[in-house]
Amino acid sequence: MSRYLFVSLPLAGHVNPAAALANQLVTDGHEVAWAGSELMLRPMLGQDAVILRTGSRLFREQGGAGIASIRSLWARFIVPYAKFILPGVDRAVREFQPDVLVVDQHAIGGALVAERHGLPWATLAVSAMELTQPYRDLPKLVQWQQDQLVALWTGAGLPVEDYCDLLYSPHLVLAQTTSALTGPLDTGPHVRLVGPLTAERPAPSFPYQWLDPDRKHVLVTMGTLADDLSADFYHRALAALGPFGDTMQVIVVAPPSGLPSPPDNTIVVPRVPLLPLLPHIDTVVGHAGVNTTSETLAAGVPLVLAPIRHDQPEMARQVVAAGAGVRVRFRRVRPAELATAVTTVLGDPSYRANAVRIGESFRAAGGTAEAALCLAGLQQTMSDRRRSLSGAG
Amino acid sequence: MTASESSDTAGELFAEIAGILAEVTGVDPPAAPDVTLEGDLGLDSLDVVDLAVRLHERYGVDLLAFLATLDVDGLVGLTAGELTEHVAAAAA
Repeated sequence: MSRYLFVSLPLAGHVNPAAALANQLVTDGHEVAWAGSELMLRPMLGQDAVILRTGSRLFREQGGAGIASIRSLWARFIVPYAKFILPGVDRAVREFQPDVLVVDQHAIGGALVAERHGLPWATLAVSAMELTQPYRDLPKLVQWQQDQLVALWTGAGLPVEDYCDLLYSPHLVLAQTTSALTGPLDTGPHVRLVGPLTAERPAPSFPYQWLDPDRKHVLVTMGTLADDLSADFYHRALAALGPFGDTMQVIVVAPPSGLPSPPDNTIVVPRVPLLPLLPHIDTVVGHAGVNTTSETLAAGVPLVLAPIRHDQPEMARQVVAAGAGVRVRFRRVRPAELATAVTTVLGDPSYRANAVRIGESFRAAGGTAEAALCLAGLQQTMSDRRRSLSGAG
Repeated sequence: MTASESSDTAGELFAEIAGILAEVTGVDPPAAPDVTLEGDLGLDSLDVVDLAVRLHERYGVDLLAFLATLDVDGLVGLTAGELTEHVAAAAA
């Protein structure tokens, strides 16, 4: 049995995959604790989770698009959050005495504390922002990120000559994707593509009897972070798909009050049970968030993607390159263009075939069970190494 | 070349580039040189590829090589005017 300390970001999209892995470790008989804000984590992790509190601070929700959104994510969230949680994670390590830290790729504070204490740590690459190096053609942007990581390293009292890339643990990187989606990657053997980390979760009710088996079903879901921005997109989507009442039914995930009197072929619901609903769905119109996109592909369902910010454009690029969907422009796509995108994906079976292929690669990659095995292997390697070092000494 | 000819040429080039940007982004062409490509015109990573192809075909300019020289603030704040100046210098 080993002791794993999880350090994530206070965002559902980051915590949920980490929690799926944590549950697997607990099932396997290991001990798990979380270092973070109890206020943020408790509702997502439930009453049984052990949370070692780092305190809470609200960081400004990230706006903008493109490079501006990356700049804002780093300057206003990743870097200040790393500094904020550092003392709390340090206390958590001293209190919980973990064997291994499991650190979200952008929860840099966890990596810093692990290095401070000389503990093995694994990077959990939840987002699609780093692994494929989408900004490799912009070397000054990459350097700007590295400069900030080095500043965090030295700011944490670590000697600059020992610096290691805080985005990638030198011991183990668990990435919730596969090369069927990313394309070929030039990574070392310690980078393990385990596929999406998904756990069973409570399913809200859904009026399945409304679904007409003779029509195609389109699910429109633009994520939780972008509700304000999404309203206009939803209006365009309804205008695009409403005229296809004979052949299509549309399920829109949004606050129903924001979309009064939708077309006859459309229902607006605040939440859907995504995993049980997906087998009924023919295409998903989404914002290319990693988790929804991965779960959709895992179900073999192709996508029309309108990425908004952060890693979403890169996720959309991968889906398009893999032939499992098409991309439209979130801010500017006109209803006619969106209708064409949806009918294209519905009409050409190659999109579904590629989604199915990616879904199969996800299952073959092993998900949480494989990730837990990789962590057990890491723990074993590190304790063997310690034993041989002390034996030699 | 006289100063007024030079400024006419620069004005024509700006109008051409503004037209290309309008075609790429699908929004109205930038009315002034200080319009930013990403923030004001909504130029995204797909548009950048499209724009690069068009600038290369028309002027033989390598947009991606130019972007690679810019730092973060330079990328975020890149204006239609700066792009025009780069094309003028690179195509000269």
